[in-house]
Amino acid sequence: MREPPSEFDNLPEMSGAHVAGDVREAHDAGQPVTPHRRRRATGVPWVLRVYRLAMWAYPSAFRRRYGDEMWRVARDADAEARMAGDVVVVALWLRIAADLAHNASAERISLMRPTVVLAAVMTGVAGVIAVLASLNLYLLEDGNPLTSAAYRASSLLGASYDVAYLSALVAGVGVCAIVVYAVVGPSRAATVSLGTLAVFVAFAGFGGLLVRAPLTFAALGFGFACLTLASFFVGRRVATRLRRRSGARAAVIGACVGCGGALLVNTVALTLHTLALNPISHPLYMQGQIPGTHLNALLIGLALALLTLALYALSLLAALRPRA
Amino acid sequence: MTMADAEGEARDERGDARAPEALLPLTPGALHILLALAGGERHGYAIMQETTRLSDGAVRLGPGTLYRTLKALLDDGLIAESGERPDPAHDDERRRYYRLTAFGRRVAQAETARLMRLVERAQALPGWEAIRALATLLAPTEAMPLHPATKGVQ
Repeated sequence: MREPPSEFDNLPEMSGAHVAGDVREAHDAGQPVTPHRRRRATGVPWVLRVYRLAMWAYPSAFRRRYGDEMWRVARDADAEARMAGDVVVVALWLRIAADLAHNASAERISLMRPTVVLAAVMTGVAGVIAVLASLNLYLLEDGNPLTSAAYRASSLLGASYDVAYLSALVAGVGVCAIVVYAVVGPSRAATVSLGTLAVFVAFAGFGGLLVRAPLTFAALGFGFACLTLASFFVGRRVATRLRRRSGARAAVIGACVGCGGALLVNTVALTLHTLALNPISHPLYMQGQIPGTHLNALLIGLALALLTLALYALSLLAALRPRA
Repeated sequence: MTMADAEGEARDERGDARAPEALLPLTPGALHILLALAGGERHGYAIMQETTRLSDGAVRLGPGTLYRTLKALLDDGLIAESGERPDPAHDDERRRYYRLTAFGRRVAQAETARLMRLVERAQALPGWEAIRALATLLAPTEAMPLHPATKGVQ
C-alpha cells in the first residue's frame, strides 16, 4: 500500500515560514529577539538543508512516513543548540551525522533478507582478502632484484602478477559499490560517485607509472577499465533481472555478483602465479617463506583467497535462491 | 495512519493478550521513550527532550534512533499515534503526537520491575557495599560535599 504524498519535499520553505513565526511569537510574548532567532527567521541553516538531502539515505517508505517529522526534530534541536553556542551546535550535528549513518544503514539492512546480508558480508571479506593477498604479492615481488629475471623467464608470471593486482583494485571498488548500494540505494549519484572512486583507485594504484612508463600505464589503465566496466555491466544486468523479485536489494546482489567476477579473476591469477613461481624462480618463491616454519606467505594468501571465494559463492547462491 | 498503527490501536482497545515479558528486555531507548510517554502524549521533539531529562543527559536520542524506535514500538502496539491534536494556534499542526497504549504501560512496568530486581541482585553481590561506599566518597553530592569544612563559611 502506497503512503500518501509526504510534505518532505517542501520542508525548507514550510519551515522557513514556521521559523519566521517563532520571531513574531517571541516578539509578541515580550521575549528578546535574539540573534539566533533572527538568523533562523532569515531562512533555514545550510546544515539543515544538507541534512534534508542526506535523509535520502533512508529507505523511501521510512522517509515518506517519518522524514518530515525527523527533519522537524533536527530543526528544533538545532534551534535550541544555537541558543547555547556554536560548540553545542557542532556537537549536536556530529551526533546527528553519526545517528544518520548508523540508522539509515541499519534500516536498509533490516529490509534485506539475512542471506543477502550474508552474501554482502562474504563478498566484503573475500574482497579484503583479495586485496591483502595481492598486496602481499606486491610487497614480496615489487622491487625485488629476482623479479625481473623471473618475469623474463616466464611471461605468465608477469601477466598473472598484473592481473592479480588490477583485479584486487577492481574488487576493492566492487566492495565499495556494495556498501554504497546497501546504505544509500541505487541511484545515478551513487553510480557517478563509484565511477569517480574507480578513477581515484586507478591513479592511487598505478598512477606513478604515468610519468615513469606511460605505455605500461595505458595498458594497465585499459585493463582496469575493461575489468571495472565488465563487473559493472554484469552486476547491472543481474540487478535488472532481480529487480521485480528483490526490489532495492537487487542492486546489492548485483554488486555482489559484479564484484565476484573480479574476485574470480584475482584468485585465478594468484593461483597461476603461485603455481608458476616455484619451478621458475625458487629463490623468489622462498622470499615468501616465514622464517622458522614450513609456511609460505604466498600459499597462505592463496589458500585464504580460495576459501573466501568458495564461501562467497555459497552465500551468493543462498541469496539468489528464490524465497520459499 | 498505517495498517500497523491501526492494528496497534485496535489491540489496545480490546486489551492485548500477549504477555509483556515476551518483549523484554527493551532497548534503553525504547524504555526511555515509554517512560517519556507515561506522563502524557508528546510529539517527537518533546519525547527527545523528556528522554534526555529522565536520564540526566545520559540518553540523547538522535532523530533516526528516535523514529526507528517509535516505528518498532508502533509495530509492537506499545504506543499509538494520538488522534487528538492540540490547538493549531499553540502548536505546529503538522506534528504527530504519540501516546502509550495500555499494553505499552504494562510492558514498561514489567521492564522497570525487571531492572529493579537486577539492581537488588547486584546489590546483594559480595563487594557491592565497598563499591557503593567508594562511590559515595567520590560523588560530590549535597549530602556529603567534597569540602565539608567550607560549607559553613558559605
